[in-house]
Amino acid sequence: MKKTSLIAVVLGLLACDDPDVVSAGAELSTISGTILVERPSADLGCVAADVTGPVLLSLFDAANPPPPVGTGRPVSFIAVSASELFTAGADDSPGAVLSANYVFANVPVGTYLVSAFLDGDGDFNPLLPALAQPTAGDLLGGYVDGEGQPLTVAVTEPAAYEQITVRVGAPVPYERPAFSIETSTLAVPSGNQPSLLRVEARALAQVDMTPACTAFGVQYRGFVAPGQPRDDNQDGFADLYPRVVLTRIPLPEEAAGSTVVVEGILNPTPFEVGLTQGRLVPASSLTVAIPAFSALVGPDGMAMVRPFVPAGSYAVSVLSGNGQTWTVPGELEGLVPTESIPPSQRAVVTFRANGS
Amino acid sequence: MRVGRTFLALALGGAVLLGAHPAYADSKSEARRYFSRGMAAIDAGQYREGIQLLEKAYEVRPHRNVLFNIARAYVSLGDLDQAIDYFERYLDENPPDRAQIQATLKELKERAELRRLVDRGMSAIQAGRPIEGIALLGRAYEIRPHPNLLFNIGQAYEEADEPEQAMVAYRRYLRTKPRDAAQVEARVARLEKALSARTARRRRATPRRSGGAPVVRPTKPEPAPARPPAETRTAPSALSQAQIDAIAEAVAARLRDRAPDPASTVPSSTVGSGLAVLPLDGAGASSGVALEAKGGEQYEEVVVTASRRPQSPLDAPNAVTILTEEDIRLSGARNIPDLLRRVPGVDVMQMSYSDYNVAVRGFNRRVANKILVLVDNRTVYADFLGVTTWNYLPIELIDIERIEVVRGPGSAVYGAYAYTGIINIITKRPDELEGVVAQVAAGNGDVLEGSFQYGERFGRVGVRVSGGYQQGQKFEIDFDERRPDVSTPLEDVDRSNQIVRANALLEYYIPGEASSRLYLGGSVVEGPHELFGVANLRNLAADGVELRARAGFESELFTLRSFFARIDRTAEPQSFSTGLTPFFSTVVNDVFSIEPIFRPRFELAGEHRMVIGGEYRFKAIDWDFLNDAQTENHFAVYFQDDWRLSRGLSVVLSGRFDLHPLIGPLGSPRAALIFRTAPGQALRLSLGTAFRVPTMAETYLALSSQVPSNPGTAVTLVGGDEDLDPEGIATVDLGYRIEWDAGSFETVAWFNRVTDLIVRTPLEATGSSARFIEALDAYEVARSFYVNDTRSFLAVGGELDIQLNPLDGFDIGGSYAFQYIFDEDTGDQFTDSPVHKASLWGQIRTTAGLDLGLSGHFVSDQQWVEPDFDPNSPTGFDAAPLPVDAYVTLMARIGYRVLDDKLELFVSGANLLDVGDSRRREHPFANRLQARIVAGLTGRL
Repeated sequence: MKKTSLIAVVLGLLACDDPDVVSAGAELSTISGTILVERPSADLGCVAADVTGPVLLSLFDAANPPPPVGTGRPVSFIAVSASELFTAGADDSPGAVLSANYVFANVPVGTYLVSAFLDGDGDFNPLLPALAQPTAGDLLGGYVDGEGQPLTVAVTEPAAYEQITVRVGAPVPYERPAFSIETSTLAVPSGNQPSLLRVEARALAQVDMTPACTAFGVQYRGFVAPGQPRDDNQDGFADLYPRVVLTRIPLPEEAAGSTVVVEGILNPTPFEVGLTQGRLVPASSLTVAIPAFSALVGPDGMAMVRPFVPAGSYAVSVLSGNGQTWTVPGELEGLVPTESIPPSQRAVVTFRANGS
Repeated sequence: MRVGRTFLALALGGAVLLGAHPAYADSKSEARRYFSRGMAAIDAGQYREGIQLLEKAYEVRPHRNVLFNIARAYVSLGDLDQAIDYFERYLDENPPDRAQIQATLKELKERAELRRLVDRGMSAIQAGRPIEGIALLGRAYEIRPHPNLLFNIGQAYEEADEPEQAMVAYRRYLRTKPRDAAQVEARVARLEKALSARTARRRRATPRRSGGAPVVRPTKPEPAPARPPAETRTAPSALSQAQIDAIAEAVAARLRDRAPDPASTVPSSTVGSGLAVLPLDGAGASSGVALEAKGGEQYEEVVVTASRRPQSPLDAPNAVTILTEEDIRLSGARNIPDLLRRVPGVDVMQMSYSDYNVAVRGFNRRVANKILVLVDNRTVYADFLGVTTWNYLPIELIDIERIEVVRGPGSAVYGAYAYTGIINIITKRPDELEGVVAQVAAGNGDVLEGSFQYGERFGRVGVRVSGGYQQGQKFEIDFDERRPDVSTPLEDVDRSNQIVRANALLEYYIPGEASSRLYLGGSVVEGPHELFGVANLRNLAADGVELRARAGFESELFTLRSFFARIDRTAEPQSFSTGLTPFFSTVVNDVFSIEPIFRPRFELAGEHRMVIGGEYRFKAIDWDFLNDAQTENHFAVYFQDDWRLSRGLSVVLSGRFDLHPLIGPLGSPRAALIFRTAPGQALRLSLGTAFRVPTMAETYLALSSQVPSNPGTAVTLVGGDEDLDPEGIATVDLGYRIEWDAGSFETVAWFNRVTDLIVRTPLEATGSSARFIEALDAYEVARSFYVNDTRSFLAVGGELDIQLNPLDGFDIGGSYAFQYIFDEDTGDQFTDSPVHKASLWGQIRTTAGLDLGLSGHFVSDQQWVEPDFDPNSPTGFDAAPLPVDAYVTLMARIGYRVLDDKLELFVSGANLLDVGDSRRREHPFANRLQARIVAGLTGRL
């Protein structure tokens, strides 16, 4: 038996053996395709017709979409450099469509949205939320249908998902919706007594915002039918962008994990003329009604709507229709030294219980 | 079945007879034993026994010096024919002292001829043919005009009853003022008297008297013996009187033409006892043929690395281990690092089939850069990384004469990178080679190896040309090319390496200087291989070419070395996630070095053996991973004084001063006390410091890579820093070594304090300074830099090494090393280095040509701290310890020599325990090793 084993081992060793493949990790997929960048046919205010820069593509879990619809963070993020788009000899005249290939690597099974923008002013920084988003002068896009509505990519099994064409070309006319809180102390809303919050657009030099391109871009969130804007919360007002969301800053003694979120209601009346013309209406300030409703979002993402707004301090986020977001306080943290953060960006909204 | 066994027995028996061997395969220790015993016998005047022992040494391990000493012993014995034969064999080996030996050989041949003439002449005289004898002695006199020949000629003339001629010879003899002049003058007087009487008798027609036995003049003149009775004459001369007269005239002419030379040597015996040939020793009879015996250096352990000049390991200021050509052949190792496993204190880490890292006394790394590796005293590490690509060395195993491993810092004479040890690979010189050696081998894992070597000396010119090919499959592949999410640039994903090497050396031996030579050489190595990089650069595919050229002059007193090396290589990941930007790097690294070395010796309160040297080194690098191409100029001067205060005590003082372009002046002193406590024994205490300057990579590198989980982001894996300090080490080393005929033993205790280790920082987020890296299509979100570790480490260790040759054909050895490295402040253990290592090896060589070699190595467990990406965070840095279990590795070889060693068949294997589920890793990120067995043959022409 021993002899047999020995012979087997020797023969096994001398046999023509291929190396073992010890590939680690689960098999993943790729999503790839072409980016088509359509430059503006002419200068559009803050957007130059000869805009150039890298295209930044983000992959989102469709169940956790990015702002303004959700608060999702990218599952993956890639960049395609300008040199791949604007290759020598390529037609870079106004209105020209440029293309390059892209690949998302290491994509697990799931359903995804692809968003993209061309960083025309070169101020993108993936580490800092304040800089990790489009700004005035950029071009926006994603994997969308002919109507501009997002499409999803269903990755059902490890494979190469190809020919996912991403279109980029929507100009971003305004800087991120940076603002200051003009009414920092509010009474908690109750019943039919919403509280009114006013925020004012600010051009922050710390992040190189251009004053001329600083405004809130107001627009309908969508239409349920031609000429009939959406009113998802059925409050009788058309739903508008920017969304204004307040997030309660937990007290130190409060358990971490759950978050209280309150969404304000933007009065469309001041903007109706422009809105009905289908335009993006610039606004230097917004007055937001804070209703007496809040949502308690658990660590699992499940939300429980409650008919009151707890007292306390809240951060305010403004989410534009194109996904641009700004939050006070906190947006400048990590970007500039703490002592350089202006008071307007450290402010909070405090809801005080009636009588307190 | 019985028939089969019988056939097998006959076949085996036949094979053994076919390969019937007069001796074991070469064995240095055995040969050394025979050699030293043989030389001792010769020194004691026991020439026959000495010659037998030297012949045995030559059988075990041929070397021309043995032939020389045998020849010399035959000279002492007076056997000139054998001496000439051995000297001619010695000359056939192209020795450096060819001219001197050719002169000696001429002298010996002349003497042999002289001897033959004298022997024949004296025999003729003894046989009663004095005139024939006179003629022969006359010819001898023509060759060498020694006075004693005149005396013997005179006696022969007397014997021939030619008193006039006899008197002529005697008178010429007397002109040399011999000590026995009075006796000879008396004889001349007697002859004159007899001649007068004869003349008178002739006048009276007196008949001629018959002769008696001749009397020959001994070297030390003595009164001529009594003339034997007339009847003892055995044969009358067959010559006619006319012939006799002609001969007499010729001899007379010779005697007239050549003045006697009292200094010349002469046959000294009396008739019938044979003429002893002139002894060539210093006893006075060796004039003109005095030759110093050649030492047994070829069998002695000689190291050149520790002090930059040849010396015994007993005299070296460091612990030194020597691996011989025989160790290489018999061990089964198919590469140098596997062979180094048996050296105590050496850490060998195999990463893949073709990638090894080697360190001495701890601190091994994936890119190990703490030892200096030399080939023939020239650096061969990749200068920009400080790492040695063992796979890419420009030599064949069959080129190697020996490997010297110096354990402990050597910056005192070698400067940067001789931080914890030096490995010097000494190749065979052309004048030590004769003909062609070729080797081919193949084995599992698609291993195919071939090498050849041709070496020859043509007068003053020696040539060596060698080359080789090596290929093998990977041990394992850490990616699956069939997966859609995996891409590879490799055409053959199974291949680990495919290396081609060529090397040439031309030497010119300077007349009159036995050890002086000029040389010119070059090499090229080319082909793909695996290479494990730093950080998350795991298994890379490297390719390219390395060119080297060297020229210089070597002599005992002065050496000038220069070399140029170009590394022109590429590296890229063997695989990458589809969609990521694979980095592809090209590096061109040029190095030029010139180094003069003086080795004066003088007496001043004892003997001083000095080494004084300097070095200029130019480096240039152009690498994709650097911000800019860079050049550096380094200067250094050094000295070492081996001061022998007395027979048993030496002080070795060394120091080196380096001028580094970024760091500035650096000094590295060393002092060693060496007590030769008894013959073959030495106790050594060394104290010194050493340093390792930052490599060009550590200084200038800017290597970034995409984060696989977020490819739009990248991290700078390692960034260089021009302000780095050199790594420092201070060491105390106490060693005891004993050598004897049948082996050696060494024990060492050492202590190191290690400071300023160059390490990588954890990844630091770039924050607002993130830049877009166009080549990667990614934003730099984090960086890691090389910095000097603020911690200091203490390391204590001990080493034992024993090598025995208890029986002819049997060598056994073992080593054990202990090392414990810990943080000086916290006491925390530095767990990357194993605490215990042990090796045991044995080699059997049979006279039937069958050789066996077996070695086993144990390494205790390790906990590697290899900072790596945290997959959950692009800027995360996971530094959790990664275990490597203790392991044993086994190497073996079976060889069978036939056709008088001209052909050898062999089977050798490494990692023999790494089969099935037992395969192991020597580093957390390394391939699991796999047993590799090759079968091959070596031919010598």
